[in-house]
Amino acid sequence: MAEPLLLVSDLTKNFGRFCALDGVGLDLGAGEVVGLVGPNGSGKTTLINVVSGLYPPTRGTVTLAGRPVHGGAPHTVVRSGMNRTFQIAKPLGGLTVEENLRLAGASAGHRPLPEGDLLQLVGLSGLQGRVAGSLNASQQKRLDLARALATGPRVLLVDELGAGLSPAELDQAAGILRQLAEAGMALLVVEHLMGFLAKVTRAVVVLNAGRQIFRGDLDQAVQDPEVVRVFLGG
Amino acid sequence: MLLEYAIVAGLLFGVFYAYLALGLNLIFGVLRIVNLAHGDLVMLGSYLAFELYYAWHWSPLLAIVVAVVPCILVGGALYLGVAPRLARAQDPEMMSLVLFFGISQVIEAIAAFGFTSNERSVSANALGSHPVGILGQAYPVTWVVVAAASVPVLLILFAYLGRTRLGRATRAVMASPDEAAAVGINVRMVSALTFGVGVALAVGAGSLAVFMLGGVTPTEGVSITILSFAVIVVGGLGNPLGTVVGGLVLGLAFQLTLTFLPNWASLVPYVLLLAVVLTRPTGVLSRARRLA
Repeated sequence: MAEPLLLVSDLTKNFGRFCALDGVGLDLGAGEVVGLVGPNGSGKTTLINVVSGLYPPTRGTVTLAGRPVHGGAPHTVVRSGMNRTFQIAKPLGGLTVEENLRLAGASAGHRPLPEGDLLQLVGLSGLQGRVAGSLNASQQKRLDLARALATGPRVLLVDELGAGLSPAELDQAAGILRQLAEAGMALLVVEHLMGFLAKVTRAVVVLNAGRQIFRGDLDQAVQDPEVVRVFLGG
Repeated sequence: MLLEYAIVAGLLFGVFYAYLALGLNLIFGVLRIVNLAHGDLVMLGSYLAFELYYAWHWSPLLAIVVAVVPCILVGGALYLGVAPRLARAQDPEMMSLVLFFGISQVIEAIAAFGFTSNERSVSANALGSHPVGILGQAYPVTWVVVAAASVPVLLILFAYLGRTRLGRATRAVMASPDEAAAVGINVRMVSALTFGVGVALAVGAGSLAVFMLGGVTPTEGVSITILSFAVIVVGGLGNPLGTVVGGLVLGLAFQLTLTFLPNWASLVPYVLLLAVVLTRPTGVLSRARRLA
Protein backbone atom coordinates (compact mmCIF):
# COMPACT_ATOMS: atom_id res chain seq x y z
CA MET A 1 0.00 0.00 0.00
CA ALA A 2 1.35 3.42 -0.96
CA GLU A 3 2.39 5.75 1.83
CA PRO A 4 -0.29 8.37 2.52
CA LEU A 5 0.44 11.93 1.50
CA LEU A 6 -0.55 13.24 4.93
CA LEU A 7 -0.12 11.06 8.01
CA VAL A 8 -1.16 12.37 11.43
CA SER A 9 -0.32 10.11 14.38
CA ASP A 10 -1.23 10.42 18.04
CA LEU A 11 -1.62 14.20 17.73
CA THR A 12 -2.15 15.81 21.10
CA LYS A 13 -2.42 19.47 21.99
CA ASN A 14 -2.77 20.81 25.51
CA PHE A 15 -3.42 24.44 26.39
CA GLY A 16 -2.30 24.50 30.01
CA ARG A 17 -4.35 21.78 31.66
CA PHE A 18 -6.98 21.75 28.92
CA CYS A 19 -6.56 18.96 26.39
CA ALA A 20 -7.85 20.25 23.03
CA LEU A 21 -6.64 17.25 21.01
CA ASP A 22 -6.09 13.83 22.46
CA GLY A 23 -4.15 11.32 20.37
CA VAL A 24 -5.85 11.99 17.04
CA GLY A 25 -4.65 10.07 13.99
CA LEU A 26 -5.66 10.22 10.38
CA ASP A 27 -4.24 9.81 6.91
CA LEU A 28 -4.95 11.21 3.49
CA GLY A 29 -3.87 9.95 0.09
CA ALA A 30 -3.52 11.94 -3.11
CA GLY A 31 -6.92 12.88 -4.47
CA GLU A 32 -8.65 11.78 -1.29
CA VAL A 33 -11.17 13.98 0.50
CA VAL A 34 -11.99 13.46 4.17
CA GLY A 35 -14.55 15.48 6.07
CA LEU A 36 -13.75 16.47 9.64
CA VAL A 37 -16.88 17.01 11.70
CA GLY A 38 -17.80 17.43 15.33
CA PRO A 39 -19.66 19.77 17.63
CA ASN A 40 -18.30 23.20 18.54
CA GLY A 41 -15.18 22.89 20.68
CA SER A 42 -14.45 19.34 19.53
CA GLY A 43 -10.98 20.30 18.28
CA LYS A 44 -11.49 20.54 14.51
CA THR A 45 -9.87 23.95 14.02
CA THR A 46 -7.22 23.13 16.63
CA LEU A 47 -6.33 20.07 14.57
CA ILE A 48 -5.92 22.24 11.47
CA ASN A 49 -3.91 24.79 13.43
CA VAL A 50 -1.54 22.13 14.74
CA VAL A 51 -1.20 20.25 11.44
CA SER A 52 -0.53 23.52 9.57
CA GLY A 53 2.14 24.55 12.07
CA LEU A 54 0.31 27.45 13.69
CA TYR A 55 0.52 25.68 17.06
CA PRO A 56 3.24 23.21 18.00
CA PRO A 57 1.86 19.82 19.06
CA THR A 58 2.23 18.68 22.65
CA ARG A 59 2.74 15.14 21.37
CA GLY A 60 2.45 13.25 18.12
CA THR A 61 3.68 13.54 14.57
CA VAL A 62 2.60 14.99 11.24
CA THR A 63 4.34 13.76 8.11
CA LEU A 64 3.86 15.05 4.61
CA ALA A 65 4.92 12.63 1.88
CA GLY A 66 7.07 10.83 4.44
CA ARG A 67 8.75 13.99 5.78
CA PRO A 68 7.99 15.11 9.32
CA VAL A 69 6.61 18.66 9.41
CA HIS A 70 5.29 18.86 12.97
CA GLY A 71 6.73 21.57 15.15
CA GLY A 72 7.92 23.57 12.12
CA ALA A 73 6.93 27.17 11.53
CA PRO A 74 3.79 27.61 9.39
CA HIS A 75 5.73 28.98 6.43
CA THR A 76 7.91 25.86 6.31
CA VAL A 77 4.78 23.70 6.24
CA VAL A 78 3.43 25.80 3.37
CA ARG A 79 6.70 25.43 1.49
CA SER A 80 6.59 21.69 2.07
CA GLY A 81 3.34 21.51 0.11
CA MET A 82 0.51 21.81 2.61
CA ASN A 83 -1.70 24.83 3.22
CA ARG A 84 -4.94 25.76 4.88
CA THR A 85 -7.85 28.14 4.65
CA PHE A 86 -9.26 30.01 7.62
CA GLN A 87 -12.65 29.67 9.27
CA ILE A 88 -12.91 33.45 9.32
CA ALA A 89 -11.12 34.64 6.22
CA LYS A 90 -8.83 37.58 6.90
CA PRO A 91 -7.25 38.44 3.60
CA LEU A 92 -4.20 40.66 3.72
CA GLY A 93 -6.50 43.65 3.78
CA GLY A 94 -4.35 46.49 2.52
CA LEU A 95 -3.09 44.49 -0.46
CA THR A 96 -5.00 44.05 -3.69
CA VAL A 97 -6.41 40.68 -4.75
CA GLU A 98 -3.57 40.36 -7.25
CA GLU A 99 -0.94 41.23 -4.62
CA ASN A 100 -2.41 38.61 -2.27
CA LEU A 101 -2.01 35.94 -4.93
CA ARG A 102 1.44 37.06 -6.08
CA LEU A 103 2.72 37.13 -2.53
CA ALA A 104 1.38 33.65 -1.96
CA GLY A 105 2.97 32.32 -5.13
CA ALA A 106 6.29 34.03 -4.59
CA SER A 107 6.72 33.42 -0.88
CA ALA A 108 5.91 29.75 -1.08
CA GLY A 109 8.71 29.14 -3.54
CA HIS A 110 6.41 27.38 -5.99
CA ARG A 111 5.63 28.40 -9.49
CA PRO A 112 2.21 29.95 -8.95
CA LEU A 113 -0.78 28.89 -10.98
CA PRO A 114 -1.74 31.61 -13.45
CA GLU A 115 -3.59 34.23 -11.40
CA GLY A 116 -6.31 34.53 -14.01
CA ASP A 117 -7.03 30.79 -13.78
CA LEU A 118 -7.14 30.91 -10.00
CA LEU A 119 -9.48 33.88 -9.96
CA GLN A 120 -11.72 32.22 -12.53
CA LEU A 121 -11.74 29.01 -10.51
CA VAL A 122 -13.00 30.77 -7.39
CA GLY A 123 -15.26 33.21 -9.22
CA LEU A 124 -13.29 36.40 -8.64
CA SER A 125 -12.41 37.23 -12.25
CA GLY A 126 -12.13 40.93 -12.87
CA LEU A 127 -11.40 41.79 -9.24
CA GLN A 128 -7.58 41.66 -9.43
CA GLY A 129 -7.17 45.34 -8.67
CA ARG A 130 -9.60 45.47 -5.75
CA VAL A 131 -8.19 45.99 -2.27
CA ALA A 132 -8.81 42.70 -0.49
CA GLY A 133 -10.22 44.42 2.58
CA SER A 134 -13.03 45.90 0.47
CA LEU A 135 -14.36 42.51 -0.69
CA ASN A 136 -17.52 41.12 0.87
CA ALA A 137 -17.38 38.10 3.20
CA SER A 138 -18.09 35.56 0.48
CA GLN A 139 -15.46 37.05 -1.83
CA GLN A 140 -12.94 37.12 1.02
CA LYS A 141 -13.53 33.40 1.60
CA ARG A 142 -12.94 32.70 -2.07
CA LEU A 143 -9.81 34.83 -2.05
CA ASP A 144 -8.62 32.91 1.01
CA LEU A 145 -9.05 29.68 -0.96
CA ALA A 146 -7.38 31.09 -4.08
CA ARG A 147 -4.45 32.35 -2.00
CA ALA A 148 -3.95 28.94 -0.43
CA LEU A 149 -4.05 27.35 -3.90
CA ALA A 150 -1.52 29.87 -5.20
CA THR A 151 1.09 28.29 -2.95
CA GLY A 152 0.74 25.06 -4.92
CA PRO A 153 -0.29 22.70 -2.09
CA ARG A 154 -0.56 18.93 -2.44
CA VAL A 155 -2.58 18.83 0.78
CA LEU A 156 -5.21 21.46 1.54
CA LEU A 157 -6.86 21.87 4.94
CA VAL A 158 -10.20 23.60 4.40
CA ASP A 159 -11.74 25.19 7.50
CA GLU A 160 -15.49 25.76 7.17
CA LEU A 161 -15.49 27.05 3.63
CA GLY A 162 -19.28 26.72 3.50
CA ALA A 163 -20.10 28.95 6.45
CA GLY A 164 -21.96 32.06 5.34
CA LEU A 165 -22.24 31.08 1.67
CA SER A 166 -25.54 31.14 -0.24
CA PRO A 167 -26.90 27.83 -1.64
CA ALA A 168 -25.62 28.71 -5.10
CA GLU A 169 -22.21 29.60 -3.70
CA LEU A 170 -22.16 26.34 -1.73
CA ASP A 171 -22.73 24.37 -4.93
CA GLN A 172 -19.94 26.30 -6.60
CA ALA A 173 -17.58 25.73 -3.65
CA ALA A 174 -18.36 22.00 -3.60
CA GLY A 175 -17.60 21.86 -7.31
CA ILE A 176 -14.24 23.56 -6.77
CA LEU A 177 -13.25 21.10 -4.04
CA ARG A 178 -14.23 18.13 -6.21
CA GLN A 179 -12.24 19.59 -9.07
CA LEU A 180 -9.16 19.96 -6.84
CA ALA A 181 -9.46 16.37 -5.63
CA GLU A 182 -9.80 15.12 -9.20
CA ALA A 183 -6.55 16.93 -9.95
CA GLY A 184 -4.85 14.87 -7.21
CA MET A 185 -4.97 17.21 -4.25
CA ALA A 186 -5.66 15.69 -0.83
CA LEU A 187 -8.32 17.59 1.10
CA LEU A 188 -9.24 17.62 4.77
CA VAL A 189 -12.53 19.51 4.96
CA VAL A 190 -13.78 20.82 8.30
CA GLU A 191 -17.48 21.48 7.97
CA HIS A 192 -20.69 21.93 9.95
CA LEU A 193 -22.93 21.82 6.89
CA MET A 194 -23.51 18.13 6.26
CA GLY A 195 -25.37 18.75 3.03
CA PHE A 196 -22.39 20.64 1.65
CA LEU A 197 -19.94 18.00 2.89
CA ALA A 198 -21.98 15.21 1.31
CA LYS A 199 -21.51 16.88 -2.08
CA VAL A 200 -17.75 16.64 -1.65
CA THR A 201 -17.06 13.35 0.12
CA ARG A 202 -18.58 10.36 1.88
CA ALA A 203 -15.53 9.79 4.13
CA VAL A 204 -15.65 11.49 7.51
CA VAL A 205 -13.76 11.64 10.75
CA VAL A 206 -15.79 12.67 13.80
CA LEU A 207 -14.16 14.42 16.74
CA ASN A 208 -15.58 15.03 20.17
CA ALA A 209 -13.78 16.73 23.05
CA GLY A 210 -10.48 16.39 21.22
CA ARG A 211 -10.82 12.66 20.59
CA GLN A 212 -11.57 10.82 17.37
CA ILE A 213 -14.80 8.88 17.91
CA PHE A 214 -15.56 7.72 14.38
CA ARG A 215 -13.99 7.24 10.98
CA GLY A 216 -15.92 5.87 8.06
CA ASP A 217 -18.75 6.59 5.67
CA LEU A 218 -21.02 9.57 6.29
CA ASP A 219 -24.12 7.34 6.12
CA GLN A 220 -22.68 5.06 8.79
CA ALA A 221 -21.67 8.05 10.92
CA VAL A 222 -25.26 9.25 11.27
CA GLN A 223 -26.22 5.79 12.57
CA ASP A 224 -23.32 5.42 14.96
CA PRO A 225 -24.68 5.58 18.54
CA GLU A 226 -21.82 7.64 19.91
CA VAL A 227 -21.93 10.11 17.06
CA VAL A 228 -25.69 10.44 17.46
CA ARG A 229 -25.27 10.96 21.20
CA VAL A 230 -22.62 13.64 20.69
CA PHE A 231 -24.62 15.57 18.12
CA LEU A 232 -28.12 15.08 19.50
CA GLY A 233 -27.34 14.58 23.17
CA GLY A 234 -29.34 11.30 23.20
CA MET B 1 -0.13 86.15 5.49
CA LEU B 2 -0.16 84.59 8.94
CA LEU B 3 -2.40 81.78 7.73
CA GLU B 4 -0.18 81.00 4.75
CA TYR B 5 2.88 81.04 6.96
CA ALA B 6 1.25 78.68 9.46
CA ILE B 7 0.14 76.27 6.73
CA VAL B 8 3.59 76.05 5.11
CA ALA B 9 5.25 75.72 8.52
CA GLY B 10 2.69 73.06 9.44
CA LEU B 11 3.48 71.06 6.33
CA LEU B 12 7.24 71.31 6.99
CA PHE B 13 6.75 70.14 10.56
CA GLY B 14 4.19 67.57 9.45
CA VAL B 15 6.62 65.78 7.16
CA PHE B 16 9.11 65.66 10.03
CA TYR B 17 6.46 64.35 12.45
CA ALA B 18 5.64 61.58 9.98
CA TYR B 19 9.29 60.51 9.88
CA LEU B 20 9.50 60.80 13.65
CA ALA B 21 6.55 58.46 14.20
CA LEU B 22 6.98 55.99 11.36
CA GLY B 23 9.32 53.70 13.28
CA LEU B 24 6.86 53.54 16.17
CA ASN B 25 4.08 52.49 13.79
CA LEU B 26 6.18 49.83 12.04
CA ILE B 27 7.08 48.29 15.40
CA PHE B 28 3.44 48.47 16.48
CA GLY B 29 2.53 46.72 13.25
CA VAL B 30 4.67 43.65 13.92
CA LEU B 31 4.57 43.50 17.72
CA ARG B 32 1.11 44.96 18.41
CA ILE B 33 2.42 47.02 21.30
CA VAL B 34 3.55 50.60 21.67
CA ASN B 35 7.33 50.77 21.90
CA LEU B 36 7.72 52.89 25.02
CA ALA B 37 11.43 53.24 24.26
CA HIS B 38 10.72 54.93 20.90
CA GLY B 39 11.43 58.43 22.16
CA ASP B 40 14.65 57.26 23.78
CA LEU B 41 15.82 55.83 20.46
CA VAL B 42 15.08 59.20 18.88
CA MET B 43 17.05 60.83 21.69
CA LEU B 44 20.02 58.54 20.97
CA GLY B 45 19.83 59.63 17.34
CA SER B 46 20.03 63.25 18.41
CA TYR B 47 23.19 62.52 20.42
CA LEU B 48 24.58 60.62 17.42
CA ALA B 49 24.02 63.71 15.27
CA PHE B 50 25.63 65.86 17.96
CA GLU B 51 28.71 63.62 18.06
CA LEU B 52 28.98 63.37 14.29
CA TYR B 53 28.92 67.15 13.99
CA TYR B 54 31.15 68.20 16.89
CA ALA B 55 33.50 65.22 17.25
CA TRP B 56 33.83 64.16 13.60
CA HIS B 57 32.85 67.39 11.83
CA TRP B 58 30.41 65.51 9.63
CA SER B 59 26.94 66.64 8.68
CA PRO B 60 24.51 65.68 11.46
CA LEU B 61 22.16 64.43 8.75
CA LEU B 62 24.59 61.59 8.08
CA ALA B 63 23.19 59.97 11.22
CA ILE B 64 20.18 58.96 9.11
CA VAL B 65 22.42 56.79 6.94
CA VAL B 66 25.01 55.77 9.53
CA ALA B 67 22.30 54.39 11.82
CA VAL B 68 20.65 52.10 9.30
CA VAL B 69 22.76 48.94 9.35
CA PRO B 70 23.68 48.85 13.08
CA CYS B 71 20.10 49.62 14.08
CA ILE B 72 18.64 46.92 11.85
CA LEU B 73 21.13 44.41 13.25
CA VAL B 74 20.62 45.41 16.90
CA GLY B 75 16.85 45.84 16.54
CA GLY B 76 16.46 42.55 14.67
CA ALA B 77 18.53 40.71 17.27
CA LEU B 78 16.52 42.30 20.08
CA TYR B 79 13.29 41.18 18.43
CA LEU B 80 14.53 37.63 17.91
CA GLY B 81 15.73 37.56 21.51
CA VAL B 82 12.60 38.85 23.20
CA ALA B 83 9.66 38.06 20.90
CA PRO B 84 9.57 34.29 21.57
CA ARG B 85 9.74 34.91 25.32
CA LEU B 86 7.00 37.52 25.15
CA ALA B 87 4.83 35.14 23.11
CA ARG B 88 5.13 32.52 25.85
CA ALA B 89 4.19 34.99 28.61
CA GLN B 90 0.76 34.76 30.20
CA ASP B 91 0.05 38.39 29.38
CA PRO B 92 2.31 39.25 26.41
CA GLU B 93 1.00 42.81 25.95
CA MET B 94 1.62 43.78 29.55
CA MET B 95 5.02 42.09 29.55
CA SER B 96 5.94 43.95 26.34
CA LEU B 97 5.01 47.28 27.88
CA VAL B 98 7.04 46.50 30.98
CA LEU B 99 9.99 45.35 28.88
CA PHE B 100 10.06 48.44 26.69
CA PHE B 101 9.53 50.71 29.66
CA GLY B 102 12.59 49.05 31.19
CA ILE B 103 14.58 49.51 27.99
CA SER B 104 13.50 53.16 27.96
CA GLN B 105 14.79 53.66 31.49
CA VAL B 106 18.09 51.93 30.70
CA ILE B 107 18.67 54.07 27.60
CA GLU B 108 17.85 57.20 29.56
CA ALA B 109 20.27 56.24 32.34
CA ILE B 110 23.05 55.41 29.90
CA ALA B 111 22.48 58.71 28.06
CA ALA B 112 22.59 60.66 31.33
CA PHE B 113 25.80 58.86 32.28
CA GLY B 114 27.44 59.42 28.91
CA PHE B 115 26.23 62.90 28.04
CA THR B 116 25.21 64.36 31.46
CA SER B 117 21.76 65.81 32.01
CA ASN B 118 22.66 69.17 30.43
CA GLU B 119 20.86 70.04 27.24
CA ARG B 120 22.93 69.71 24.09
CA SER B 121 22.09 71.31 20.81
CA VAL B 122 23.55 71.40 17.34
CA SER B 123 24.05 74.81 15.78
CA ALA B 124 21.44 75.62 13.17
CA ASN B 125 24.36 76.68 10.98
CA ALA B 126 25.12 72.99 10.53
CA LEU B 127 22.25 72.93 8.03
CA GLY B 128 22.74 76.38 6.50
CA SER B 129 22.71 79.97 7.55
CA HIS B 130 20.15 81.81 5.43
CA PRO B 131 16.37 81.70 5.73
CA VAL B 132 14.57 80.10 2.83
CA GLY B 133 11.83 81.96 0.97
CA ILE B 134 8.62 80.05 0.24
CA LEU B 135 5.59 81.83 -1.28
CA GLY B 136 7.15 85.15 -0.43
CA GLN B 137 7.83 84.41 3.23
CA ALA B 138 11.07 83.46 4.98
CA TYR B 139 11.35 80.21 6.92
CA PRO B 140 14.25 78.97 9.07
CA VAL B 141 16.60 76.92 6.95
CA THR B 142 16.52 74.10 9.50
CA TRP B 143 12.77 73.56 8.96
CA VAL B 144 13.19 73.38 5.21
CA VAL B 145 16.28 71.13 5.29
CA VAL B 146 14.67 68.81 7.84
CA ALA B 147 11.53 68.49 5.71
CA ALA B 148 13.67 68.00 2.61
CA ALA B 149 15.64 65.27 4.37
CA SER B 150 12.46 63.58 5.62
CA VAL B 151 10.75 63.34 2.25
CA PRO B 152 13.30 60.98 0.60
CA VAL B 153 13.28 58.74 3.67
CA LEU B 154 9.49 58.48 3.47
CA LEU B 155 9.59 57.89 -0.29
CA ILE B 156 12.23 55.16 0.05
CA LEU B 157 10.24 53.47 2.80
CA PHE B 158 7.00 53.55 0.84
CA ALA B 159 8.73 52.32 -2.30
CA TYR B 160 10.10 49.45 -0.19
CA LEU B 161 6.67 48.65 1.28
CA GLY B 162 4.79 48.99 -1.98
CA ARG B 163 7.19 47.84 -4.66
CA THR B 164 9.39 45.14 -3.22
CA ARG B 165 8.56 41.57 -2.35
CA LEU B 166 9.96 41.98 1.15
CA GLY B 167 7.97 45.17 1.61
CA ARG B 168 4.74 43.46 0.56
CA ALA B 169 5.59 40.65 2.96
CA THR B 170 6.03 43.27 5.68
CA ARG B 171 2.59 44.71 4.95
CA ALA B 172 1.16 41.22 5.00
CA VAL B 173 2.68 40.49 8.42
CA MET B 174 1.41 43.83 9.74
CA ALA B 175 -2.08 43.00 8.46
CA SER B 176 -2.28 39.46 9.84
CA PRO B 177 0.68 37.33 10.95
CA ASP B 178 -1.27 34.06 10.75
CA GLU B 179 -2.47 34.66 7.23
CA ALA B 180 0.94 35.93 6.21
CA ALA B 181 2.44 32.65 7.40
CA ALA B 182 -0.21 30.83 5.36
CA VAL B 183 1.18 32.36 2.19
CA GLY B 184 4.64 31.08 3.04
CA ILE B 185 6.10 34.20 4.62
CA ASN B 186 8.70 33.69 7.35
CA VAL B 187 6.84 35.89 9.81
CA ARG B 188 9.57 35.79 12.46
CA MET B 189 12.33 37.03 10.16
CA VAL B 190 10.18 39.63 8.43
CA SER B 191 9.07 40.90 11.85
CA ALA B 192 12.67 41.04 13.06
CA LEU B 193 13.72 43.02 9.99
CA THR B 194 10.76 45.37 10.38
CA PHE B 195 11.55 45.90 14.04
CA GLY B 196 15.13 46.76 13.04
CA VAL B 197 13.90 49.17 10.37
CA GLY B 198 11.64 50.78 12.98
CA VAL B 199 14.62 51.29 15.28
CA ALA B 200 16.69 52.72 12.41
CA LEU B 201 13.89 55.15 11.53
CA ALA B 202 13.63 56.30 15.14
CA VAL B 203 17.37 56.86 15.52
CA GLY B 204 17.57 58.54 12.10
CA ALA B 205 14.70 60.87 12.99
CA GLY B 206 16.65 61.85 16.08
CA SER B 207 19.22 63.61 13.91
CA LEU B 208 16.43 65.94 12.78
CA ALA B 209 14.64 66.15 16.11
CA VAL B 210 17.65 67.89 17.63
CA PHE B 211 16.84 70.83 15.33
CA MET B 212 13.04 70.71 15.36
CA LEU B 213 12.42 70.01 19.05
CA GLY B 214 15.08 72.34 20.39
CA GLY B 215 18.13 70.42 21.57
CA VAL B 216 18.39 67.09 23.34
CA THR B 217 18.42 65.89 26.94
CA PRO B 218 18.42 62.31 28.28
CA THR B 219 14.91 62.74 29.67
CA GLU B 220 13.14 63.88 26.51
CA GLY B 221 12.21 60.36 25.41
CA VAL B 222 8.79 60.28 27.08
CA SER B 223 7.54 63.47 25.44
CA ILE B 224 8.75 62.29 22.02
CA THR B 225 7.02 58.93 22.49
CA ILE B 226 3.76 60.72 23.34
CA LEU B 227 4.09 63.05 20.35
CA SER B 228 4.80 60.09 18.04
CA PHE B 229 1.95 58.11 19.57
CA ALA B 230 -0.45 60.97 18.82
CA VAL B 231 0.70 60.94 15.18
CA ILE B 232 0.14 57.22 14.69
CA VAL B 233 -3.22 57.24 16.47
CA VAL B 234 -4.42 60.10 14.27
CA GLY B 235 -3.25 58.23 11.14
CA GLY B 236 -4.24 54.75 12.27
CA LEU B 237 -2.26 52.22 14.30
CA GLY B 238 -0.33 49.83 12.08
CA ASN B 239 -0.95 51.95 8.99
CA PRO B 240 2.28 53.50 7.62
CA LEU B 241 0.52 55.67 5.03
CA GLY B 242 -1.73 56.95 7.79
CA THR B 243 1.36 58.02 9.71
CA VAL B 244 2.14 60.55 7.00
CA VAL B 245 -1.42 61.87 7.15
CA GLY B 246 -1.25 61.91 10.94
CA GLY B 247 2.04 63.81 10.83
CA LEU B 248 0.63 66.42 8.46
CA VAL B 249 -2.56 66.82 10.51
CA LEU B 250 -0.57 67.26 13.70
CA GLY B 251 1.93 69.63 12.05
CA LEU B 252 -0.82 71.84 10.64
CA ALA B 253 -2.84 71.80 13.85
CA PHE B 254 0.23 72.64 15.90
CA GLN B 255 1.39 75.50 13.71
CA LEU B 256 -2.10 76.97 13.28
CA THR B 257 -2.63 76.88 17.03
CA LEU B 258 0.83 78.30 17.65
CA THR B 259 0.02 81.16 15.30
CA PHE B 260 -3.48 82.03 16.43
CA LEU B 261 -3.76 80.58 19.98
CA PRO B 262 -0.14 80.25 21.09
CA ASN B 263 -0.95 79.51 24.73
CA TRP B 264 -2.82 76.35 23.68
CA ALA B 265 -0.23 74.97 21.25
CA SER B 266 1.36 72.52 23.66
CA LEU B 267 -2.03 70.84 24.15
CA VAL B 268 -2.50 70.08 20.46
CA PRO B 269 -1.13 66.49 20.44
CA TYR B 270 -3.23 65.50 23.44
CA VAL B 271 -6.42 67.14 22.15
CA LEU B 272 -5.99 65.51 18.75
CA LEU B 273 -5.28 62.17 20.38
CA LEU B 274 -8.48 62.34 22.41
CA ALA B 275 -10.55 63.65 19.49
CA VAL B 276 -9.46 60.80 17.21
CA VAL B 277 -9.87 58.10 19.86
CA LEU B 278 -13.40 59.33 20.58
CA THR B 279 -14.55 59.92 17.01
CA ARG B 280 -12.47 57.76 14.65
CA PRO B 281 -10.60 55.22 16.75
CA THR B 282 -9.17 53.46 13.70
CA GLY B 283 -7.58 56.68 12.43
CA VAL B 284 -8.46 59.29 9.86
CA LEU B 285 -7.64 56.94 6.96
CA SER B 286 -9.88 54.15 8.18
CA ARG B 287 -12.19 54.22 5.17
CA ALA B 288 -9.59 54.97 2.55
CA ARG B 289 -6.99 52.69 1.03
CA ARG B 290 -4.53 51.54 3.63
CA LEU B 291 -1.00 50.50 2.96
CA ALA B 292 -0.92 47.79 5.63
